[in-house]
Amino acid sequence: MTEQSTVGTIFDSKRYTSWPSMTEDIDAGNLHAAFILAPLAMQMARQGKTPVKIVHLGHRDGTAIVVRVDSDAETFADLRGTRMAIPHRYSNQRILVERLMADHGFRAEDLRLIDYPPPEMPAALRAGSFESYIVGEPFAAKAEMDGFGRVLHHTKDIWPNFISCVLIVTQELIDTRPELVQELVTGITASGKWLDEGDERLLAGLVHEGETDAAPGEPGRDVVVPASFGRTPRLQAALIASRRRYYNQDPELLKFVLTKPPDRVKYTELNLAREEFEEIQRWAERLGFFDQRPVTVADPFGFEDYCDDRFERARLPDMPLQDR
Amino acid sequence: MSQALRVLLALAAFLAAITLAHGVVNLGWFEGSERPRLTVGHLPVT
Repeated sequence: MTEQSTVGTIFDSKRYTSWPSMTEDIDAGNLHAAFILAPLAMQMARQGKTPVKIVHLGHRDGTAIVVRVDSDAETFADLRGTRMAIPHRYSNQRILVERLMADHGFRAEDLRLIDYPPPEMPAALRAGSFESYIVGEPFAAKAEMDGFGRVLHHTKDIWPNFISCVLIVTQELIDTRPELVQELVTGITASGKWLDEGDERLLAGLVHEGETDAAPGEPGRDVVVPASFGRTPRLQAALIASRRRYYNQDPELLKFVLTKPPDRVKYTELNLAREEFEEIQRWAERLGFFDQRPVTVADPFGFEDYCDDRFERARLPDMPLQDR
Repeated sequence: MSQALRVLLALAAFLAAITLAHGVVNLGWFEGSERPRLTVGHLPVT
């Protein structure tokens, strides 16, 4: 999004293919800001190898449990005795599944959880490597669009306001460049507000098909909005996010994710809520995420140790929108 | 001027031209890059 603006910090996107490669880059001092699984962020903060803080959310909801279209499962309870892929052992998706297992009286052996890379989950479901998976978008929508998967549950229906990934920054960045963190946080908040509440004015740098002779990819004209695509903020965002440097996905897939239904992923209410994180922490402790350094009375661990919400109080910047 | 000296001078002129061109390209490339930058990591998943 920041490329659409001509002022302020340039926030470059770096796409990773696995969580370990991202955490290694953070530990090596090569990366100071990232969107990462909430419990993994807590685990990093607890481990203390590289001090990090959660400073904001990037979205809410946007995760689903997917089964094959020919599956007999109608509810989570029907998954007893099967295998389910999860994105990471320190993910909130795993916590949700463990919560559902407890609610439905499952024993640990009643549902076999398998760590699996999210981008590979749809193909593996199709191949029969497991009977279901839980994942953040667009990999739930991918199976739906390709016709072999269906959503059993959206998180918005079973854990409203679900938190998957959070924005973390290193403590070093907070201490040395707090203004950059501030700009990043307020930029994300403003973008989210525009996504959920904005009108159809195009973002700066985007051009409507037919209004330019430049080919897609030329400088300043690399996001062309096709006439048939629509121009709501979510559709503009789908076109931007589909680019190689971001999600590198089919724009139609991201359009599906952001519109079917529109509340499949939510971009408002991104502030850090203490009670939500304390609930995630309780489950993380229960599931042994902090076993390397257990939380005790003598060695406590709480919201202030892994969250820093000071950057959420600033005035929001205006989005760089075109006049028409 | 010997043939060897002419070759040497031509080579020196060529290298100087390349260096100058490289510098000009670099200047153009980084023009306006006084804006601060920060890399943000992510996976292609929400």
